Amino acid sequence: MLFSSVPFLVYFLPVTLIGALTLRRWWNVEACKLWLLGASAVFYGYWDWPYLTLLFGSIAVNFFIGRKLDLLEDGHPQRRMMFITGIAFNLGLLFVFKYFDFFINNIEFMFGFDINVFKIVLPLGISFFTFQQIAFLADSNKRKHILNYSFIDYAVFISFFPQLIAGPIVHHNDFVPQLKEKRFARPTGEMFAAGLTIIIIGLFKKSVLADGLSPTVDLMFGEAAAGATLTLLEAWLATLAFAGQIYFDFSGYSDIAVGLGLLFGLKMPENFAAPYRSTSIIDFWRRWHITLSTFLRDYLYIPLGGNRHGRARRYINLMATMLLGGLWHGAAWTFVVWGGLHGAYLAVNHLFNSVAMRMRGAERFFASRVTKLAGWALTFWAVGLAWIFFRAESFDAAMNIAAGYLGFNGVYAPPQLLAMFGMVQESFDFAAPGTSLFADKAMWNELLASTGYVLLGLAVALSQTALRGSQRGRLIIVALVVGLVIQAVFFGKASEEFIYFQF
Amino acid sequence: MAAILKVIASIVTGILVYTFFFGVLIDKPLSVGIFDRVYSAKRAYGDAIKAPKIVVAGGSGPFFSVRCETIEKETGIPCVNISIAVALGRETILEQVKQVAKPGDTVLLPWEFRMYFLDADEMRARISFPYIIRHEKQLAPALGADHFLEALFYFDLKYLFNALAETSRYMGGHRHSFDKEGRLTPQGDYQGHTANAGEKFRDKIDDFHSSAEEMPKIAALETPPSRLMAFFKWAEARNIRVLGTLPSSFDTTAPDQKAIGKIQSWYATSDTAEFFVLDNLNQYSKGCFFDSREHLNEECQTIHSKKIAAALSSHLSH
Repeated sequence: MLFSSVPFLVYFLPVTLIGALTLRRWWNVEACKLWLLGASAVFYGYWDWPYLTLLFGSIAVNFFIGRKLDLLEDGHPQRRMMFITGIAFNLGLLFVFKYFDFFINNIEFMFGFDINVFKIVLPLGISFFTFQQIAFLADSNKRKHILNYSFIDYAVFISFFPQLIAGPIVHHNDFVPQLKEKRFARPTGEMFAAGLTIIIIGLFKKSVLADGLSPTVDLMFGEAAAGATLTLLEAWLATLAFAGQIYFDFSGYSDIAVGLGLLFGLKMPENFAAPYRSTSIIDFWRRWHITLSTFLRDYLYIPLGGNRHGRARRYINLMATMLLGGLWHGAAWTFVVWGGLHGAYLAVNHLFNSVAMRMRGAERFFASRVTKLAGWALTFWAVGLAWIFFRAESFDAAMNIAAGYLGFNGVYAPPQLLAMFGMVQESFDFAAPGTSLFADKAMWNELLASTGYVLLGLAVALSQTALRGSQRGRLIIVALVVGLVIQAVFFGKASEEFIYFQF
Repeated sequence: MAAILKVIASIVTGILVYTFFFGVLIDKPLSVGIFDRVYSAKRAYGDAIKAPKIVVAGGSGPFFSVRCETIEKETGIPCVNISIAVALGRETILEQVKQVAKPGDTVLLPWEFRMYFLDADEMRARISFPYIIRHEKQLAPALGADHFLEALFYFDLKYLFNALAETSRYMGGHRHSFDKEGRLTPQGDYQGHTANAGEKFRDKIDDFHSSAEEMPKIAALETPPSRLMAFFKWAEARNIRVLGTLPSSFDTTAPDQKAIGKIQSWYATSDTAEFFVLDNLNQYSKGCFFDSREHLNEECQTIHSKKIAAALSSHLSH
């Protein structure tokens, strides 16, 4: 069930919300938790109910292992075995359901034979709820729990529908204690109002902006995959459109999740902080998919040694973390390249900082506006280049678009565009158009709309501040966008699935 | 509670802002506003002439193929052609007729075949929603509650971007062909689409099949278009005569007699409605067509209009 769909907004959410608030107020908190557990099961099972056994089976196994780790004394011989078993169970699930096909395909490619195995459908949200449970086991192993959790509390934490499918990757210590608080399912008017406004803004990002950018992205990346050579402007339009689509799609989803949490009196962590305003790659990863970065830092980078064993080891750890982070997004080499690019960017950024900060006047240099602007431009360009690999349907298609993005495929501008600026075609075109969007005169309106969406998306992304802003500011935004949201959700074409559902 | 009320107030304000923005401020002058300018000119002529008059209504077929100027000369009865585009849909076209036709008038409906069988949603999916919301708000109640909301929330960002581009082109002097000086006769007919000017569309015309191939879809209809039947009643109550005829089509496919019979049976339900077919079955060779399979060129428009005028004279005399 999509957050931006009519069944969710008109039926599921009101019934679930009224049920939870009523049970909490007029009966007891445990009944409310059971209600939420049931509602989350309906939400997940609506997509494919047989996978409910996977979800709740995984919850039960992890809870049992976590409880065992709590009960066993430090140094007990079974303790280490239990922990390893738990981690292996979770990684095994991920391997079977997410990477098995990828593994088989690579074996087939390397050895040139066909292996007939059944194709496995990727269960929604498995990457997210598995990571949450790995964090739970790791903390159980290190006795980092704030509270002892009941099974119901743990099951509500993992399956809570706003964050079940695509995060934010909520930490158990941030979530479970809230189930004991007074405000759980008894939000204040301010919380409820903030939740509503954040949901509407999230729907605007998803249904209006991300879904509006989607046809351009599909068309241009699709044509590149089919062999069209994208020229400079085409590649930039495709890249900017995807940069906007993935940001608004995922941050829209995260906004809706945060807003839904508030309706139930629960505070969820922020996942984005105006990432496209970053002035360095290090800054970007503090602002993009924050809960994943935090997880990777705490449960992968630091256990690998972090920056504690010298510079070279630090860069190796960074690269390993980002490569695995890339692979976490999807079972394809293009995601690995994306992760590798970001690992390389981060290593270069850290190296540059360590060298540059030793120079005289470095602080003043880094604080200057010109440096920040140059840093922003370079960061944006580098992030864009990496997005091409993230979205492309194949490595060849990615290389094709990347070549266009870097200017190696020449330049072409539609004649109508040149005419608007009083220019003639011959004075500008150094290549044949690569996509139908640029070549076909009948697509002029589509091209205008695509450009409009990209420019508006950029304006919105760059005008956002790192913090959410005041409720007053949000109310103004709601007044500006709610008509478009109603149009898109209730009267537009059916909303597209969130991109992060496939991860 | 006050915080929640503020959110509700913000949502209501937002809907008002959206409605004002798209209902009053933003327009697509080349693809939506054009209809308002052309309709306004046609209605003004229709209002200025006295009853009894002839009102021709349909899509772009009768706009290009029927010439009120000729009918007026041949019959001696004033005539206004309020046809523009099929995409506006049956409802909008008939609502326009209701604004112009007065007791004693005759309404001629040479409808394109698809106007009978396309359902309301298929036709409204195009331009009648923004046209009504932006330019003819008085027609909105006729849409009914469901369709009114669909019309009100028709406008998305893509519409806005294209509207801004069209406005910029319009302000730069670009005009729709309907909007160019000298393109319309005072009676509202399209003119200047000569056979010579249509030569550039010759290959396109040669590739087309006759629109008469669509007629079996009319024969297959189980119920008549409800708005057309309601219009007959409206006209009958006001002593307005309704005459229907086939649209002009290529003579490469003979008209489907079952479809003709069906349309005639719908007209026969009203005492003041009648459907007629010209002796040439309203068909012409491909050489008579301008830029589409439904648009006669100016020379054949005149010939066709003389035939229609003769038929009208015959029907109106008894």
